[in-house]
Amino acid sequence: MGILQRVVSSIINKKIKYFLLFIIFFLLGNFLVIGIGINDASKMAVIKSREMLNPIIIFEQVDDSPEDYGIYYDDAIVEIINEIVLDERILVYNKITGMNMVVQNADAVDINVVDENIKQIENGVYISGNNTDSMFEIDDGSYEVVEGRFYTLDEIKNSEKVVLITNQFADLNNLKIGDKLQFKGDNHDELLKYFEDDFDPIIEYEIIGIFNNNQIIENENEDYINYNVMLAPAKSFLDFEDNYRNADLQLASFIYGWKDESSMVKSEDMYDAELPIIKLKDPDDLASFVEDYEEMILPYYTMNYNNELFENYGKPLDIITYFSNLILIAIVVNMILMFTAIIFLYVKMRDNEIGILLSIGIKKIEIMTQIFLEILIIGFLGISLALFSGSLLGNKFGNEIINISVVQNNINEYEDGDMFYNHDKDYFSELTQADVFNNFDFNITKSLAISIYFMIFIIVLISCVIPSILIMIQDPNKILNRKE
Amino acid sequence: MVILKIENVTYSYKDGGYQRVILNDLSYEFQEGKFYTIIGESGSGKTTFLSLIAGLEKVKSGKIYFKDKSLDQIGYSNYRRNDIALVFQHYNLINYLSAIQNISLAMSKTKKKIKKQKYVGYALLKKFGIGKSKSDRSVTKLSGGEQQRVAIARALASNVELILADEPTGNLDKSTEIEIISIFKNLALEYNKTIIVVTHSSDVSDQSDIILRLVDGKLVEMK
Repeated sequence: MGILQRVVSSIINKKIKYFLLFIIFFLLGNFLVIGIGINDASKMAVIKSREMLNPIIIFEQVDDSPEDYGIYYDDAIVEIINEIVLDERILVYNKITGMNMVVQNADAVDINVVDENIKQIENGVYISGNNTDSMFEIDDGSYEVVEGRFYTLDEIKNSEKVVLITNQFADLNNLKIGDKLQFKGDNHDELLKYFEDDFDPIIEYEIIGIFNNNQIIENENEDYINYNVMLAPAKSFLDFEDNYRNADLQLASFIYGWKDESSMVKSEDMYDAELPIIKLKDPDDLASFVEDYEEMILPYYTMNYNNELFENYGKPLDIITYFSNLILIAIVVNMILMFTAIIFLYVKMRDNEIGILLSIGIKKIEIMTQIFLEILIIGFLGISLALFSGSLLGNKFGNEIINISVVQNNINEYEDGDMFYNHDKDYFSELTQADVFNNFDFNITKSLAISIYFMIFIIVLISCVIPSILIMIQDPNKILNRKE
Repeated sequence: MVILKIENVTYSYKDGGYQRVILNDLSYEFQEGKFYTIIGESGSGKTTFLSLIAGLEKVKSGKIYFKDKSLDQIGYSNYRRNDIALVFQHYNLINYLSAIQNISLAMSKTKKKIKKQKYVGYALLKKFGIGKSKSDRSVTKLSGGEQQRVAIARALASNVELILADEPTGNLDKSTEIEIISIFKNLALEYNKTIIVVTHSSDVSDQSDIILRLVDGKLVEMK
């Protein structure tokens, strides 16, 4: 006869006792489900809100930085930045540089231009360069490569002249992958007047990709340059840019009589010292990432990851998480103590049965296993029912807590959601406290239910320790003779 | 052939300040296929003796051998599981199991593999007058005599050679007592089992092959 058959027979035979145990499991199980559910909902709300906020890190120059000028050329800073961008926690980063150019063998897109002043130069385009094989806009779908490909790390390393153009630009000019585009600087014609034939730098790019600029679709009247933006490896046009900067400098010297002997800082060196804007894979890594690097870049820079805003909005959730943790610990400890006492009493009440089983040679470990399984089955049945009722109660209870928190916290509500925004571009997404609380969703998921069952397993296991000692010291002779 | 050998076993316990000797350098050899009864005054140590030879309690002084192997060598739990079966005055059946389940439990615990356990169990119970419908009932719903027959069937089910019983008819009426005694006699005679029964009843002891009286901590053969 198998142990499971014995377990089932024993439970059926002790219906009333086990029904009472079932009720206890059910009642305490409700608290456990509510506690775990609220705890999980708070944690998930924090994570979701973090995700809404985008796990972005922006470097900001310290206001009272010891050196306002010259830090761009600090090799140590460049080295640190190069080290930071290799961190595996980074999903993507933008280290953008750009140059206004004029396309020579094609026409710029000029549809939907509301303000003609924006389009200052005929066939003016903007080359945007990054030094990774992706960028934020590719990652979030703002730029969607529909034909061809994005540039590779090798092409970046070799400063190859490859470019991606918008599909509007491609359609207008009937361009395809492999076609070549020629560019000159946007002040080319002006400089030519002074330098005549001595100055005529032209740069030629091969088209490797065509992308949809989805930002344009969403905002039809956005600026003209969005249709004429092109993507290329950052360093592919820095030397070209230096030609124009040098020419500008010479022209200034000629016109104003400057005699500046100092050498011009190369665009590439300036670019190397540029600070990236970083997006991490996991929002949970933000604090540790900043902690790992912030010391290294002080006193010049700090790292802003919108934490102040998040912490203010997320504070009620932290308090809920803290208290639900405390309640959860109290429930688990109480369950263990209570079930230890109950199982102890059960074992005491069953000592005659234990004596008989021992007298026919059943091992003590098997008897312990039988009692453990009986309690565990009842525990699982009780918690199964508690999962339903606890979910309903927890939902109501969780919403009440959130409502209270909202009322109390409205006093601290930030009026300006953009308060912590930075740079020209809103890399940080908007977040309000309502968003944070909307993310609080009491829901007993399958994985949460499994972890609750696992927790019951552990509670029953721990609760069986002391009663097991009682079984271990049982003497069948004493038990049976006591009855005799 | 000797199945159980008791060698210089002494058992005593402290009783209010002085040592009370129950078994005093007791030695005896039990033969295979015999029906023994042990009689004696109340408190003479009959039940203690049975507990020791049943391996329910460890011997502190002296040795007990089952087929030339000491119980220490065999292991007390193994000995109880594989080599002996116990029948008690209060039947000591697992009350939440049916009669057939009690039998199956004993069968499943012995190392001697028994095939078609349920079939054998029903057959055994039938032999002791417990039909199939009663076999499937909870043992608490059976009469005292029926429960004791189930207990004996359980003892037999594990296919052991030595069956020990402590006042097995103590709770039974006269006619059932006679019935149970005849079962024990047959077990020794037909199945070559060794039966050792502790009893107060002269009706039981009169039917045994050998009567042993426990006097002053020693076993004395009366018959």
